Amino acid sequence: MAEVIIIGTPLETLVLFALMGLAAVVAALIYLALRPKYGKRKGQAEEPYLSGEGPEIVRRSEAPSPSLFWGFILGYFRRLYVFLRDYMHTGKLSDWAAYMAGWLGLAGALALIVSIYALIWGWP
Amino acid sequence: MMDAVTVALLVIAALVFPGLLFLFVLSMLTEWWERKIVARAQARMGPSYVGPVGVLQPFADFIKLLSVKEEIRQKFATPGVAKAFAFAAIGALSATLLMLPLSPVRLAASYDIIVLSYICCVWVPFAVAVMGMSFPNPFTGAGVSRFLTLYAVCEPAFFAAILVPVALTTNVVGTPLPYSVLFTAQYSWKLWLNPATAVVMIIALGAAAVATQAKAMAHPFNIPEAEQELIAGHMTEFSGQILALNNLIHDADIAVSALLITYFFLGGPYPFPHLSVPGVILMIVKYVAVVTVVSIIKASFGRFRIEQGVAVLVKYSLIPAVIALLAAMFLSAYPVLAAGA
Repeated sequence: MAEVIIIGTPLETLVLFALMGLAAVVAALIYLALRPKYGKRKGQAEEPYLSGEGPEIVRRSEAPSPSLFWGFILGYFRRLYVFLRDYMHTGKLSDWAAYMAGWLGLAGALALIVSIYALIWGWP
Repeated sequence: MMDAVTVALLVIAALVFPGLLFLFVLSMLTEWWERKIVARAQARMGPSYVGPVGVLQPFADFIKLLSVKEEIRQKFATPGVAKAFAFAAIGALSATLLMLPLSPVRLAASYDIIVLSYICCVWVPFAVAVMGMSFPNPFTGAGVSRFLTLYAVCEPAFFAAILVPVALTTNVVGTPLPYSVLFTAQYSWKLWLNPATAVVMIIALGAAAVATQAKAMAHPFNIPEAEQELIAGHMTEFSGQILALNNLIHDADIAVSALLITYFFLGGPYPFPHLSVPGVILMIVKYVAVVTVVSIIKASFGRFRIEQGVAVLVKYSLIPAVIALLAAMFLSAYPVLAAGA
C-alpha cells in the first residue's frame, strides 16, 4: 500500500532537497563509473567551434549588456519607450527640471506629511 | 517525525521508483516513442534495429555518448561546472516525482505547489542555461539568450496553467490539504464532472499543452537550438558525456511535464487505483497521448523566429492560462456554481 507522509511545507522542502541532492550524487557516481577511462588526448581541437573559423573573427563571445537592454526595450516595450521619449524629451532643460522638481516635490511633501503625522500621533 | 523505515523507503523511492532509475527508463522510452511518431509523420522508419522495434535505440545512444565517445574540451570551457549543474537538474526532476501519487511513499504538504514550481521551474532551466554558458561560444551565447527569453514566458504560463486544477480541487472539490500537489493529482479528475470547471480546465489544458511544446524545445519552439541557423545553439559545443547528460535532461523534462499534465489535467489513473490493471492501462494511455500530441505538433510545424515564438506563447499560452486562473479564482469564490465537481 502507498504511504502518504503529511508534513509541514518547510520540512517537505528540506526533505525534497535532500533527496534531490542524493539523486544527483548517485547520478554523478554512476557517471564516474561509466565514463571513458582514457585520458585527455594531446593536439585535439581546443578552439571554440565557429563554423571552421578561428575565435579571432569575433571580438566578444557575448552580446554587450547595453545592446541586450535596448534590444529588449525596443523589441517588447517600443510604445512605452516612444511615449516616454516624446512626453519627457522636449529638448528643453527647464522641462526636465520642472518634471523632476514636480516628482521630488511630491516625494518631499509626502515625507513631510508622514513625519508630522508620526510626531503628533506616533508611529503606527 | 519520520522513522528509519520511512527514511529508507524515501531513499529507495528517490533512487529507484519513481526516482532516478524510473525517470531514466521513462525518459528513454519517451524519446523512442517521440522519434517513432515524428519519423512516421515524415515517412521514415525511425529507430528500428536495436531491440524490438528499435525500443533500445535511445539507451544505446546514451550509453555510446556516455562511455565511448570523446568529450571535446575547448580551451575556454568549464565542463566540471556544466556536469555539476546537469546532475542537479537530474536530481531535481527525480525529486519532483516523489510529490506525485505515482510514488509508493508520497510526500504531501500544504501549498507545496510552490515547492514543485521552484524545483521543476527554476532548477532545470537554470541548469541548462549554465551548462550552455560553461562552453563559451557566440552560437552558445545566442542560443542561451533565446532559451532564457523563451523560458521567461513558457514557465510562468505552464505553472499558471497547472495552478488552475490546484486551485479548483482545493476550493471546489475540497482536499485534505490546500494547494497540495498530491491531493490535486488525486482529485483533479472530478473537475471534468461539472460543466463550469470543465470549461476552465479545457482552457488551462490548451495553455499547458502549448507551454509544454516550448518547454520541450520541440518545433515550432526549437528556437534556442535552431539547427542550421545557430549550428546547435546552446548545445553547439556539447559532445560525448556532456551531450549525453544534456539529452537525458531534455528527455526527462519532457517526461516530467507530460506526467504533470497526465495527473493534473487528465486525472492519472483515477477513478481506478494505481495498482489495478485498468488504472495502469489508463495511466499509460493518457501519458502516451500527451507525448503523441507533442510529437505530432513537432512533426507538423516549421521553426518560429524568437519574437514570433514569444508572441505565440503569450497569445496561446500565457494569456489563456491567466484567464483560466482568474476564472478558477471566481469559481473558488462562488463554489456553488461548480456544484457536483
